[in-house]
Amino acid sequence: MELGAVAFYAVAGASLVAALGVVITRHVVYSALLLILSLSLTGLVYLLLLADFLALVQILIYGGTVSVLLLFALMLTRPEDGAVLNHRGWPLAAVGALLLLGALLFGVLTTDWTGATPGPAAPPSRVSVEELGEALYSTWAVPFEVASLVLLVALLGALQIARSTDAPAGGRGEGADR
Amino acid sequence: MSTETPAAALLDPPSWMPGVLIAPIIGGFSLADFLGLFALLNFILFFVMFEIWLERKVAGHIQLRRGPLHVGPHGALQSPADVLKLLTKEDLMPAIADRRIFRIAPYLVFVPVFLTFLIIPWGGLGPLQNIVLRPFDLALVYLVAIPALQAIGIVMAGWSSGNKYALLGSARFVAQLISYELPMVVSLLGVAVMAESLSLTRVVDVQRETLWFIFLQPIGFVIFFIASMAEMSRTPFDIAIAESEIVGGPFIEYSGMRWGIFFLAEFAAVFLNAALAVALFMGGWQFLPGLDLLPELGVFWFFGKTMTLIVVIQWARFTLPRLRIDQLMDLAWKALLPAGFVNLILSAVYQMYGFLPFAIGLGLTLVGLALLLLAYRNQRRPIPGGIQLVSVARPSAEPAAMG
Repeated sequence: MELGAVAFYAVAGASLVAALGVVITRHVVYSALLLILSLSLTGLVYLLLLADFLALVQILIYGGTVSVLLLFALMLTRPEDGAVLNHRGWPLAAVGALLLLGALLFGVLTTDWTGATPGPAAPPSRVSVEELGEALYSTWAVPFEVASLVLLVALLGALQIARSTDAPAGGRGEGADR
Repeated sequence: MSTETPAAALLDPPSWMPGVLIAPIIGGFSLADFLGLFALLNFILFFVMFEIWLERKVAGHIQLRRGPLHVGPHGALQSPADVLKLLTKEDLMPAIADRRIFRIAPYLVFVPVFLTFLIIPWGGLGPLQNIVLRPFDLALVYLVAIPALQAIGIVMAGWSSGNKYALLGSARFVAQLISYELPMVVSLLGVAVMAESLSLTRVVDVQRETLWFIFLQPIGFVIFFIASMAEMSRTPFDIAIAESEIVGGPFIEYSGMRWGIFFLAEFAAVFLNAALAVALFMGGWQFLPGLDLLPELGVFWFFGKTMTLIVVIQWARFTLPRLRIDQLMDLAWKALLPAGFVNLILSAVYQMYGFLPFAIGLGLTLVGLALLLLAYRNQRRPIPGGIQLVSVARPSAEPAAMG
C-alpha cells in the first residue's frame, strides 16, 4: 500500500477508536478528552487529504476552543465516583442515533466517489486559501453571511443569558453592564 | 506545494537545503527534517536556560538588586544548576490525582509551543538563505490554531490535580486564552490584508519591499504584543498562576521536571512570541527599515530584534502590577478588540485607496485613541460586586475626580 494510504487509514482508524471510546468509557471527563482527540484526528485526516486550511480550522475550533469549553462544563460539575450516567431517555436517543447513522450510510453509499479517491490515478488537488476565499465571497456569499448572522444571534443570546443570571448577584445593579 | 502525495502535505523539504540532506528516508521525512527538529529542540532547551538567567538578571536590576551572582561568572551557571536540581527532584503526585491525565498534561502544554516554532522565519546565515523549517503558506492560521491546543493541556493539568486552586487557575487560564485569542486573530488579519498573504515568509518580504508593519500597523503591533503576553500568562496577565493568591494555579501540584516542562513551555513561548512579533511587524531578518545590510547575517539581525522584545516582555513583567479579572476582560473585549477592528478597516483602506487616506485615517485614529486613553485614566471605576478594596486608586483618582 502507498504510504499516504497507510497514514490515512491509521489516522482515520485511530479517530474512530477514539470516537468509540467517547461513548464506551464510564468516566465523563475521559469521554470529553477522547472527543477532543477524535476531533483533532479528524483534522489530521483533512490534512492528509490536502485540505490544510480546513484541517487548521478544525484544530483551532474543535481541538482548542469549543471542546475546551465543553471540558470545563464537565470538570466544574464533577460527578460523584461511580455515578451512573445513563439518562432515562436513552431509548429515544438510540433511535435518533440509528436514524442518523442510516442517513449518513445512505449518503455515503449513494454518492459517486469516483475521482475523489486518493491514488495514483487521480491525485487530489490542493485547494488554495485564495480559491476558498473567492468561493466564499462570490458563489457562496449569501450562505456565508447567513452563517455570520446565526453566530451574531447566538452571541447576543449568550449575552442575554449571562446578563439575566448575573444581575441579582451583582449587587448595586452593576452586573447589568457586563 | 501542490503536487506531493497526501502523506507529505506538510513535509516538503525546505528549498535551502543541500541535496543529500533532503532525500526522504522515512515516509517523506528527510535527514534534514530530523536534524532540523533535533537542532530546534536543543536550541529551545538551551535558550530557555539562558532566558531564565537573563530574566533573573533583568528582574534584579529593575529592583535594584544584582540577580544571581554565585554560580559561575555573574551567576551564568545558575540555570543549569537549577535544571539539574529539577531533574533529580522527586516527582510527586497527589493521591487523589487522576494519574494518567496528570502525567500527560505537561507534554500537551509544551508540544504546541514546539510545533509553532517550525514556522519561524529565521533569516539567512552565510550561504543558507531564509532558513524556515516549514515554509508553510498558511502560517498565520497555523500560529493561531496550534497554540490553542495548549488550553487542553492546561485544563487537564488543573483538573487532574484534584485541587481546587488548580482548577480555579486553569479556569482563569483558559478564559484568558480564549478571550485574548480574538484580538490576536484580528491583529493578524490586519497583517494578512496588508501583506496579501498568510505566509510568514511573504509577510517578511512585503515588509522588506515597503516598510516595517510596526510603522504601518502600530495598533496591530500593540494588540498582538499585549495579546501574546496575555496568552503566555505572564505577569501583568498572570492571575491564572498568581503565586500570591492561588499559589501557582494549574501547576500547584506539580514538582520536579514535570513542573519544569510547564515552565519550559512558558519561556519557550516568550521567545516564540517575540520572534513572531519580529517576523510579523518588525521586518524579520531585515537590518533596518528599508536597509538590507548583509542579508547573510540575517539570523543575527533577527535575533537582535527578538532579544530586544524579550527584554521588553521581561521589563513589563517586573514593572506592571497584576490585572484584576474584570480589568483583564475589559482590556480584551472593550479595548483591544474594537481597536483591532479599526486597524483591520485601516488596512483595508490602505489596500483599496492607497497610502494617503490610510495615513490620515491612522493619524486620526491614534489621536482618538490617545484621547480615549486620557479619559479612561481619569475615570474611577467601581469594583464589580461591590467589594471595597483598601487602596486600589491611582494617585490621579482622588475622591475629587469621582464627580
